Amino acid sequence: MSRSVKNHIFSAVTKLALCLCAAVLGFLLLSIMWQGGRAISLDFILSPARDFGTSGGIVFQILGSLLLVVTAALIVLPIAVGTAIYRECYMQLAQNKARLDTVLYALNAIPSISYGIFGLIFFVNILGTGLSWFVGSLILAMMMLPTLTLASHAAMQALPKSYRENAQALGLSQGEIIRHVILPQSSGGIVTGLMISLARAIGETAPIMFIATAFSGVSLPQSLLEPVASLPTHILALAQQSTDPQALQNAWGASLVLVSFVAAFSALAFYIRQKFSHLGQR
Amino acid sequence: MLQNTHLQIVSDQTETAAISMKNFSAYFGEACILSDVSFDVPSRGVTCLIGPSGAGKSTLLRTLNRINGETQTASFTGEVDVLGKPLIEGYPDVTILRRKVGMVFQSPCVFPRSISENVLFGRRDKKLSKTERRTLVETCLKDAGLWSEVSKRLDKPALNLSLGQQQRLCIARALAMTPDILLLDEPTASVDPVSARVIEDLLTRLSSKMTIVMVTHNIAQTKRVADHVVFLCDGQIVEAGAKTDMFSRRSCDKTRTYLTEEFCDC
Ligand SMILES: Nc1ncnc2c1ncn2[C@@H]1O[C@H](COP(=O)(O)OP(=O)(O)OP(=O)(O)O)[C@@H](O)[C@H]1O
Ligand SMILES: [Mg+2]
Repeated sequence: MSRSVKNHIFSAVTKLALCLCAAVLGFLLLSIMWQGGRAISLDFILSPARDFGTSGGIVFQILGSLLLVVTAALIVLPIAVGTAIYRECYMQLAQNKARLDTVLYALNAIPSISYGIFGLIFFVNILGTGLSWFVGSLILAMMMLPTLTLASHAAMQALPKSYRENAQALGLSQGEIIRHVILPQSSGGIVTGLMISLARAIGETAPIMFIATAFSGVSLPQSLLEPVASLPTHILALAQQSTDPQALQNAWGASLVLVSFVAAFSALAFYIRQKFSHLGQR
Repeated sequence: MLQNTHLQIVSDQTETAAISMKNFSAYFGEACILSDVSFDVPSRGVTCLIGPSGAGKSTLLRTLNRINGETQTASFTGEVDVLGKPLIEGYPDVTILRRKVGMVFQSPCVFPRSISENVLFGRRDKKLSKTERRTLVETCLKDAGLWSEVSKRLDKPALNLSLGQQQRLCIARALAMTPDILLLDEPTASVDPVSARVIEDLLTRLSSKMTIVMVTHNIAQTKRVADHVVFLCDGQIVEAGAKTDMFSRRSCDKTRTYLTEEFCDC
């Protein structure tokens, strides 16, 4: 077989793979939009659920989901950025760096249901917190930690060494270098990482279903220790009543809203990365 | 090895050397990069560090403000005095040393901020008023010979400047710290001949106010700007002295060969 024929075949195969990939994504998105679009109205988004979600809307599920992930983000951000700074600026031994990386990758690989079970056993059973959104946020924060730490650290590592050397030569202390060179230069990467981990966290069902969410009859929590409603667990509950067409339709609607949030976070991540890389090059 | 003649040129109050090294040896891990180096850099004037690639010039320069110390494997033995105080014990807070001993690296590195922010980057003291800041920016940029080119766009990103302008901005940034010693590692290596001459003139002017130590591969440049020359080869000092001595018959064969033929077989 001649070389050019091989080349053609190879490029055709890769093209086919790309098309397949795009087709799956497109089919999924289109069906969610098609089915969900029929359920969605302003009323659906703005009114509370009734009759176990088969009628009414999903306003408290939306608010609950946002509350869960935003709190998780607030918890995880300082820990992840702190760890990344420590890894980049203070850790001396290459051995320890490798150990930390192993731990982070291992954390990343833990299935989300394990986090849920851990939360159930440790917080709900042993500490007796009951179903509470704050514990849910804690568990989500734990799940986001490796992703965000690795993203933050990658952003810091990508900075040219000369930045730090020049700042040192100007007599800046380690703390000043972190504050004025490393953090501002890597903030784009950190925020992008945060958005990506938010996009993942908001769709997670397993870690929160046993510990943070109630399926019906909840509005906004009055304290840290009250449960919330959330989109993914709501969809799960509706899908279990799949014989009821009204429940299914509402599940599609809630799915569409959830996917929109994921898309919004991802788009924001993309936008921030663009904006910051532009800032860096001006 | 410095001859007494040029120590007498400088006035009484500056009689002590700005930098003095005695039996200095530097290592990266096991490898000995500089061995048993001893020389003095007199206060004021331009001291040029010359020698073939890999001789250890950058290593020597980077020792003087302890940037090398940031490298894990780096270590040294011997005595180094900077501004009359031992390099390590005399400066428990390394940032104080680095504010007195400014450094400009071979390739310019400006921060992705405005021109005036870059000049003030090392000045973290909150006490400076707005007018003081503006004057400082202006004097430093004028000293660095950059003012006329950038005075209209101080708030514009520094990354838009040409490489030669960025290098002068780096010099201005170092000057803003009002250092007593300025170290420059091949400051004209990445700029065109015209900008190089601008930087040379600037160094000559500055040398009346501070001690300048500069690494260069350019013999003609050494001839133009140096007051003193240190010739380094294979981690050892071949010869050090006033420029006039080094470029005259009085220098040793090895030095003369390097200076005239720019070739070294050491
Ligand atoms: N971080 C380091 N780790 C190990 N060896 C190093 C390190 N930095 C420099 N060296 C070695 O030290 C020796 C001297 O290097 P140095 O950069 O001081 O030479 P130089 O005289 O400045 O050369 P050039 O004129 O090419 O810049 C070289 O052999 C180099 O490989
Ligand atoms: Mg060098």
